[in-house]
Amino acid sequence: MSDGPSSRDALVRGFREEAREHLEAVSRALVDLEKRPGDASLLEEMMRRLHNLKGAAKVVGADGIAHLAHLSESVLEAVGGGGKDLDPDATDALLQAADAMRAVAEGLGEGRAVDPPAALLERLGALAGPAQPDPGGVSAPIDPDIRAVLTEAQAADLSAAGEQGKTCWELEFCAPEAEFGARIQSVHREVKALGEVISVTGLSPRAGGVARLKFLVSTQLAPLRLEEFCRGASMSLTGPVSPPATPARPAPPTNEGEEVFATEMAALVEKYVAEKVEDVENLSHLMLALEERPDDRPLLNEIFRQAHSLKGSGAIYGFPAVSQLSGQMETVLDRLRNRTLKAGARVVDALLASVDALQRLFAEARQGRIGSEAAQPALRELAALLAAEAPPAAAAARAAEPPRPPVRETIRVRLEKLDRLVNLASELTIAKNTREAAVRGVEEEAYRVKDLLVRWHGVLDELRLSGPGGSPELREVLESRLDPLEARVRGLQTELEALWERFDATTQHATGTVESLQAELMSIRMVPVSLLFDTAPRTVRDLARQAGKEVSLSVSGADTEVDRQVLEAMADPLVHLLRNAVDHGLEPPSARARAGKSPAGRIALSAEHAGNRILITVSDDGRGMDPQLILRKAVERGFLTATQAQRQMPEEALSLIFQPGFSTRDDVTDVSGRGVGMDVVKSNVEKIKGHIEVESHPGRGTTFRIQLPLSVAIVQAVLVESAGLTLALLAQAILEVVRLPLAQVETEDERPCFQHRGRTVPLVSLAELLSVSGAHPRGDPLTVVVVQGIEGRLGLVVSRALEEVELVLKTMGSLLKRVPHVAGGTILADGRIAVILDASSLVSAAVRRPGAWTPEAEGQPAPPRRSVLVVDDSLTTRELLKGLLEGAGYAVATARHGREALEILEQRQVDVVVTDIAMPEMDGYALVQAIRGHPRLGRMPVILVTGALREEERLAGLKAQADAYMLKGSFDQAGLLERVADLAGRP
Amino acid sequence: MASQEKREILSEAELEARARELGREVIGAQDARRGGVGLVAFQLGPEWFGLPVGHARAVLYRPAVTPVPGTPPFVAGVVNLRGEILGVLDLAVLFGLHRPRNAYAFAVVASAEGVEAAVLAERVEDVVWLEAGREEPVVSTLPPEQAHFFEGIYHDAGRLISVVALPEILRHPPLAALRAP
Repeated sequence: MSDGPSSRDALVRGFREEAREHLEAVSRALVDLEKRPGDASLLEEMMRRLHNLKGAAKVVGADGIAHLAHLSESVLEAVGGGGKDLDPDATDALLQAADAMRAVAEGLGEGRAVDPPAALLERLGALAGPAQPDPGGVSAPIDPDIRAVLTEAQAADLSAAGEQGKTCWELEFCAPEAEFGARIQSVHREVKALGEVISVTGLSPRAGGVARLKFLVSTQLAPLRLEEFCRGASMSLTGPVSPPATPARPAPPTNEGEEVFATEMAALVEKYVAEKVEDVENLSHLMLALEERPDDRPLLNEIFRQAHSLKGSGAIYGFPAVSQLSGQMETVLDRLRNRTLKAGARVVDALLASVDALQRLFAEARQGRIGSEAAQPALRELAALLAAEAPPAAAAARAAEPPRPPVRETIRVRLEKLDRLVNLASELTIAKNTREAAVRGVEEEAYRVKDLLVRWHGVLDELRLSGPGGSPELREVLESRLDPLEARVRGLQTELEALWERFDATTQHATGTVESLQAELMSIRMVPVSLLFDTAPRTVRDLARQAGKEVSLSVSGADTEVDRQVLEAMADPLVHLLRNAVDHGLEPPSARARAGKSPAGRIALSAEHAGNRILITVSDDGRGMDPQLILRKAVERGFLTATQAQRQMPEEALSLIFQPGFSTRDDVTDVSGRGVGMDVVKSNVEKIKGHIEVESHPGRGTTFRIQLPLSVAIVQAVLVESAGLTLALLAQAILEVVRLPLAQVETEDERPCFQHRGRTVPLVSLAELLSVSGAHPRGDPLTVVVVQGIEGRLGLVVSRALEEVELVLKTMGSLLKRVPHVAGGTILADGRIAVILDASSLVSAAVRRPGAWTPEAEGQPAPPRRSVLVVDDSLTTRELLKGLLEGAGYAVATARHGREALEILEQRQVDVVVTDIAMPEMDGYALVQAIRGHPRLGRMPVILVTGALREEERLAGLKAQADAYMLKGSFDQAGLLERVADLAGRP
Repeated sequence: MASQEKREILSEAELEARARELGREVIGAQDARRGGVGLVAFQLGPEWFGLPVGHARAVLYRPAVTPVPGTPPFVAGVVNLRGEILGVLDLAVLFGLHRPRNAYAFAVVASAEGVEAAVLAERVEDVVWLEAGREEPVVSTLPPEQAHFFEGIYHDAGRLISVVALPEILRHPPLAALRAP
């Protein structure tokens, strides 16, 4: 066994502590023995301690100590064993030996090798008399810690072992606590292979977090063979040990013994339980699979292996009920394996009930209770099964050597820790954005200095050309003073540009790193949907049995990843949908047969990624829902008036099932109850910013589709500006953003409204609705965010709709937990906060409080400026074009290459793109192609501008589907402005 | 860009001035610390207020406050505190004082009863140590409906420091409504 340096260090530290303790006790006992010669208990204690020390020394490779301890033991045996008292000479030698051992142990702890003095070894050897074989045939007394918890039955085993010609040994396993849990099972298995394990006792851990466990084993193996095993397994060997002279105490009430055990290994047990909860969950899936494939040998073997492992580990970790129950399961499984029992429904039911009981036992353990009541019904059922069937003809075959458990490569991290990391990473992002702005600032300064130089030259030239009127002396003086100055400014400009280049390069590097850091952090939170889907087969099976239906469930896309919190929030809604499908959706077998369907109903559960959301589908091939029936019930129960019902579209009728208190079934089943559920499902889904819809065809089945965000922390929102505030509106409720010409604003009941897809929708100013003072939205056309709420649709008028974005939703802090209409806040790229509003709740507010705002009352509309994006790697060209276009009244954005241009196009409204062709990162052709392939930007006008005059370039430009192609050579400003105006409209 | 540079320079100068002030305060406060009452003293208009040190967590310089619609006027909005969002109170509004013409220069992050908030201030002196038991009852110049917002008033070097009862303020119904379940 090769241990890493750290675990070796821990072992050595632990050993040093142990050695100190033993040696102190031995020295004390030696001194006491002088006062009370012949005290057998003192001798016994020294023997035991030296023996233990010898074993431990061998494990850590402290041969000097092992040798000294062995010799000391022999001295004690030679003297004390013969009934003689220790003479002062021997006591001296033994005390020196103890000191020498301590020195070796301390040296080991500090990484020094200390050899015991040869003279001492010799002296001890002389006192010991003829050499003793190691380990000797004399029995050592049993470890009092073990004896303390040894039951009568175990003591009897111990005595019986001697009669059967076996010897008993104590094997101590110690390992750092961190790896103890992972190794203990395999160690236990290995020890069991040596002989019969009489008892397993947890010992109090050593200093430095080294956990210990002692096995009491009876075996026929030779001592040498045992020693070899122990060395290989990093264990220490003590023995042979003899049965205790004092009678073992009667078997303690199980709980008391277990309690001692539990306190000693509390931390380990906790870890163990956490692991086992997952294993048991897995076991339940395997059982279900077993019911379908009762003859699947490998499956049966796997289940057997798990039950077997639970039996063993349950005993080690102090869960007798777990051990007992899994032992019974093992017996049943073994009968299944040798075919004396059939994996029928009753057997699987009993096994599943046992798995449930195991889950309850572990759940209780998590709350600090170790009981056995939870196991009783399952135990009785299993016993009944075994009694009913004929006992196996042959003795149960032993389990095949199971594979070692896989090494765990995961750690558990608290979510809040992760959240803090994500927060810090977002702060880095803000720093990154500020830095990028600073880089652009430096670039601009460099350009200004360049510009200054050009003008400087102009002034100088004018001076030189001032002709005969100017004084030559003055000119000479000016030049002699100005030229050096010019050189210095030029030097400054060069430095500034160099600085900018360096700054730019490092910033790009930092940007990339921060972005990948954030992506990695987000991905940590993602877990596969299988965590949720894996419970479905069991749920469906149980429900089907209760309902007396046959159901086959198919699951797909279980490896789709989603944020853990989203998944947790989906657990209840999913169970509910499955219940509904089994209970209401699927017909009984007889009805299915009449409808010409297979007797087994089908339920399909699937997950897939759809853009940046996840789509979960639950569908059945059952009776389906009849819109007419639903409408009739809706009218009966007063959800709709008869006239309203007539106007409902079929798909709208179906969504009535999401109304609180709506149900179309009159019977009450113990599965679904009556009239509850679908509204809860819907509100649960919406709580995590998801969306649910239903589709159904009478006689053919029903499908529920649930769209969820990949993360509860990430929401889709539309950023808007209103009264000078940047606000985010949750996108779920937003139908679309429209530009509404003032001429199309109508009035109904003295309130402004407009026609939207055939409906009259009221218009409300967002600023007024929120009672924010400031400029009201104005302009023609108006920017209107159309929102769907429960009460209907609403047009929210905003100053500007910026873009649809993904935002990290944060709480507004403890002070502002519940502000009306506020869903939370987010931190924008520049570090500012934007308040996130729940758009659908604004609809209710607008209905309650009609506003006084009317678009007609606004002042002269200011048409939005047309905007142009200039893409060129040359700063001079960029600035030239920018000046030209701004002068003509356009809003101008600039980008250095195609990739940057695409980023800008994603973020802001642009009417036309003017781009160079040869650029780094992404050239003009690639940019045009990217724009043409973009779903939203596809029809964006693009003007290609280049200095080269080559026919193939022109062809390539046209092939890339540019709208216009202009040459810098023939570049005329008026021509460009005309093309821009043609394509984008007048400014 | 230019504005940001300017802000940096300003902050350094102000921080230096503040550091000097703090140094003086701490030296002066040493003696009073025995059995004293610690207050984070802050200024709103001409008046001084104090938050018991037990409530104060941090002082923010030039907080960038984003207004939150639908909150009472004495809720100034929210700030970004290391990636988390924190509500901000403008006590000048709550106490009926004049708000400063310019943006507030400081905010004191404070918490009580599990609620964390930033309190805007024009000036902040970190900790002023005063002798315990020397507080005087809240003077009657305050409108009676505001008296319960204060724990008492101290005399300190010729000025009056009103000790703010943060838990009482947080229980103020319009504020409590913003975190009602």
